[in-house]
Amino acid sequence: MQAKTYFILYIGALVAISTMKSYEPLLIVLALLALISGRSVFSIARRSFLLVALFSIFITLSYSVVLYMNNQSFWHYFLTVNLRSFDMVFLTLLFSRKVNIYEAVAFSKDLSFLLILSVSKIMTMQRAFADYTDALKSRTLKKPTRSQIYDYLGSAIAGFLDKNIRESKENFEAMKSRGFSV
Amino acid sequence: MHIPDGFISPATYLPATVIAIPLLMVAFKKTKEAINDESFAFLSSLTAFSFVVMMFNIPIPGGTSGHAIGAAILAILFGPWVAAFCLSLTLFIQAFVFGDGGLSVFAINSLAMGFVASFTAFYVHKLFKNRVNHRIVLFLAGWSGIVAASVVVAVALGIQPLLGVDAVGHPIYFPFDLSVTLPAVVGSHILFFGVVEGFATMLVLKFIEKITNQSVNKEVVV
Repeated sequence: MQAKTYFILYIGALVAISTMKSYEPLLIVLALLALISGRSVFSIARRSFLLVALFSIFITLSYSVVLYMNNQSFWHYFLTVNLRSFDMVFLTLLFSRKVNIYEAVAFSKDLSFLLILSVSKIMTMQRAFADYTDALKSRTLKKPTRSQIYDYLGSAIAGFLDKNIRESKENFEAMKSRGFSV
Repeated sequence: MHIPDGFISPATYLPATVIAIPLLMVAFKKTKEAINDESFAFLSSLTAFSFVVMMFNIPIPGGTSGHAIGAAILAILFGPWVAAFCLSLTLFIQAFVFGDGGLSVFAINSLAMGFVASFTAFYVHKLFKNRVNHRIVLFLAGWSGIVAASVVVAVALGIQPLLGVDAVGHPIYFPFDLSVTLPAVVGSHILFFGVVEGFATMLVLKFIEKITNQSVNKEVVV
């Protein structure tokens, strides 16, 4: 129940931050989020920065340059948009660290269950993908031709699809044998 | 093409959420009907697959490379509703569990990359499959899906300067209007990301056809 309440609060906070139009209140929000996050503040801040930087800095920097070339003040725009984006990402990361997401979305049993299954499968697939690329590198002696790369990509992606579907059948049988009826 | 949090105004993402939620509910219902009682294990597998597809770097002629989203592959193999649902779930997991993509803009990303890409790819494939060379049809399905999705994203971004300005008249969300976003976002998808998606669709589906034809008794995906 608590996770669901936090989820509703999180959505409300996210919408509220997205309506803020100047950087001063966004700075206060950031300070509050930093306080709430406690010891994990630096790790969340670092990850938020990395997630925001690529898109946000590129877009806001280029627009700030346009404003600067037209002799207009750009600081307000630059700070507001980047801080808002940073605050929202920070809030999401904080929420996902402090609250059990699967419990938060448990208003739908189906969604919660599907989410758990999918995330566990994604993690398995990420490991399988890393093993696969390492194995491929270690077995590649010379640079492959373009047609070899395309053959490899077609077979690799189709192989992952095949593997996923085979495993889904095994998972289904395992779930059924343990009494799951979804 | 993921839009991060903070660049889209509530006036855009709230109506998009109102549209996306019932569509996702219909997609979930249709998906469960379409893939019988194994649905949960199967759906999670397809979701993991669409996540994995995004990890492959696909080179295209010209010396560059990018990643596909797999919308056309899933739409052609399993239907557009299944594809839209799995891609949306992948986007939700990326935003929520991995913090990538933004939850406030999940609905726009889902409508664009989930629904628009899957339905466009599916119907382009259906329209041309017996009229044009098969490889070209597969490429076109992948390419058109991603290009159509990019139009939605370009419009969502390009209308932001109309929806929010500060006291001095500067935009406070995404700053560039449609005259910039349409050529920049759609143009790059016509010339680059669409080509990557088209290549990925063609390579994977041709490979599946090849192994299906080679060994009819072998248990394969379709």
